[in-house]
Amino acid sequence: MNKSQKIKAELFKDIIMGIIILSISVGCFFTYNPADAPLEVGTGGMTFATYPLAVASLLTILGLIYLLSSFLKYIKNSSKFDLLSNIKNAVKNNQSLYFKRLGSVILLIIYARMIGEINFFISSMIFLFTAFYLFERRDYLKMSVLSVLGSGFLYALFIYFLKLPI
Amino acid sequence: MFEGLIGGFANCFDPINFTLLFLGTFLGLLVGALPGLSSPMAIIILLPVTYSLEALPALLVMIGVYVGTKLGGSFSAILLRTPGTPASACTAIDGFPMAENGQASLALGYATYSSFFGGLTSWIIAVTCIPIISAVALKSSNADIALIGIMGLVMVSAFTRGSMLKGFIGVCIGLLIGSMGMDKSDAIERFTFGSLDLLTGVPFAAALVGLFGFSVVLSDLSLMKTTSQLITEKFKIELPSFKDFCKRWRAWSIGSFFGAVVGAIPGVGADGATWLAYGTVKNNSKNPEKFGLGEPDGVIAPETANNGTTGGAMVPMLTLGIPGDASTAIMIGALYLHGLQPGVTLMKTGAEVVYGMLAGLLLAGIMMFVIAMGAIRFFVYILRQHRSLLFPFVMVFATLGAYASYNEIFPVYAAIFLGVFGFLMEERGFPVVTIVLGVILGPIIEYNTRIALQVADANWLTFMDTLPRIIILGIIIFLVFNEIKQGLIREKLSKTK
Repeated sequence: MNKSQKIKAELFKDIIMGIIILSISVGCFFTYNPADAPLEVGTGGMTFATYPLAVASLLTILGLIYLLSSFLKYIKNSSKFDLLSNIKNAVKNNQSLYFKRLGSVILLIIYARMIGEINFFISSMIFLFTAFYLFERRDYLKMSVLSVLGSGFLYALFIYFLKLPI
Repeated sequence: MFEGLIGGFANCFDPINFTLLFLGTFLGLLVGALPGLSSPMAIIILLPVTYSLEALPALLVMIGVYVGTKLGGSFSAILLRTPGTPASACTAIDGFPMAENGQASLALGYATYSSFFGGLTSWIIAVTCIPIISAVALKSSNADIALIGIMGLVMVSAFTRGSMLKGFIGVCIGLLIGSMGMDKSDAIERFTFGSLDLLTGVPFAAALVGLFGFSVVLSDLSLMKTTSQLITEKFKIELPSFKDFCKRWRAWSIGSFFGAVVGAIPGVGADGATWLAYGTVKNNSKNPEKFGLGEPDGVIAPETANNGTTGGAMVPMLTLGIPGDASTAIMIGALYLHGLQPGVTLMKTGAEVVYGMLAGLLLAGIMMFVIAMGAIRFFVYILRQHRSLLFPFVMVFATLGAYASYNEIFPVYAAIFLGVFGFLMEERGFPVVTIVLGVILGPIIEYNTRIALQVADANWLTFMDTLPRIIILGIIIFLVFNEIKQGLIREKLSKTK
């Protein structure tokens, strides 16, 4: 991929981000008042809705500017851009990194779930060992020792010493 | 003021507080030396540890980390050419060539000396300015506080890296996150999506952990495979002679000046200060051609500026509740988590904490100097360790930081969501510090605007009633228009290219 194509690929990502920002801002207009409360103006001339709607309006304007400027730059760039092959290349070149990122998020969700359900020491030990594995360590003895000692240290620090209600 | 400061020192010399400050500084040096882990991340790691502490001890740990990371970053910059923190990138330009020329120990000595000196100078400026500004700020009314908050948001958006448009978008997203939950004035739900967990809004700890913890881990996973190759195996810190250091007065005075002044401007942070100081010293040097080849002034200027920002950043944070950088943003969050209200009233309601923090800032600078001299070999040993051993522990601490804030899983889920979102934003060049600032300042701005309008009987002209308000409005308008103008110029230049 040459420099111009790279720029175009980055601009495409900017467009996607612009769409996300715009979706958030427009979504705010439909979700700011989940209880359907009446809009009664108070003594100061503001209601509970004034501030979030003002911010959402500003975000919509800014999001539109960002999206339009990215889109115009994208159109002006004359190099060829094939979305599918770009995605394929990115996945192929960064497979391990993407896997680690996705794995980290999933692992964190499972860990959070485990803290609430099972013992903190055991859940931390499992998490640490799995995370070491995810980050491509294969020295199992060192991983096991670090997981056990690390969890023990964390347990002693937070439960015994700091007395956090975990 | 002196009484307060003496009281602050007395509090810091309490054995537990002193030990915590020492440990914080030690950890700061350690984390700062590790490329990819910065000061905000280190403070986030410590967040769960501080929950069971009183406000002052908790903040002293954070101040120790804040000061320690500034110097720690230069270790890897000099020995590896890989800056430990973004602000140390400038130090690598001349620090690494010095190490290549066999002067690694001296380069580390210059960095340590300069960091200490920069911190000391900015501390003097901070303790002089804070009581004066606080005395004026205490007279602020609701309208003033709202305007100061807006000015802080605009300044951070304007001065953080990248475009103001991206900064503003980040701020708006932060403001919306901050408005989630029950409205304080009318007790009506906003953006709760029918969730009971969201009635109290997004937990502050979750926002901090997500945006400064998880998002950084996700981003830094790309560094996982990098290994650290040291330029030399034999080193210690060799301090330059005092005479030699004094001879280089131009470099350290310029560095100290930029550190203190730029540090006090919300949003610019140490990165901007170091480059400004380096550029100025180089341009004013009789031998600018020597820069980049191992010129000691090229280490002194950025390092004094780097640590000089610590005192500068404290000024808007402790007087106006506006953070100078990401680390002070988290400290503002810590003040909230410990039941204190940051802002113009902090000097009135939490003077003991303010003076304790100021005393801690000076002591942390001294500790940083002593620890660096004694334990440089240990830091370099850690620096050579593989990150795959470190990141899982960072993730555990960050998870606990969110979990222990409410003792519920919900803040962890919120932190993970915000972490992924923050990571995506950072990847596209949106500074996440603007989001956090929006979360912090949003409720303050809204509350004070509503009160000000109630007092003025819904007259919006109340925001132009007094000279200070007109000046603040003028600054806001100037910053916005100037940034639009700069953006248009940049656009024109890119078209001509």
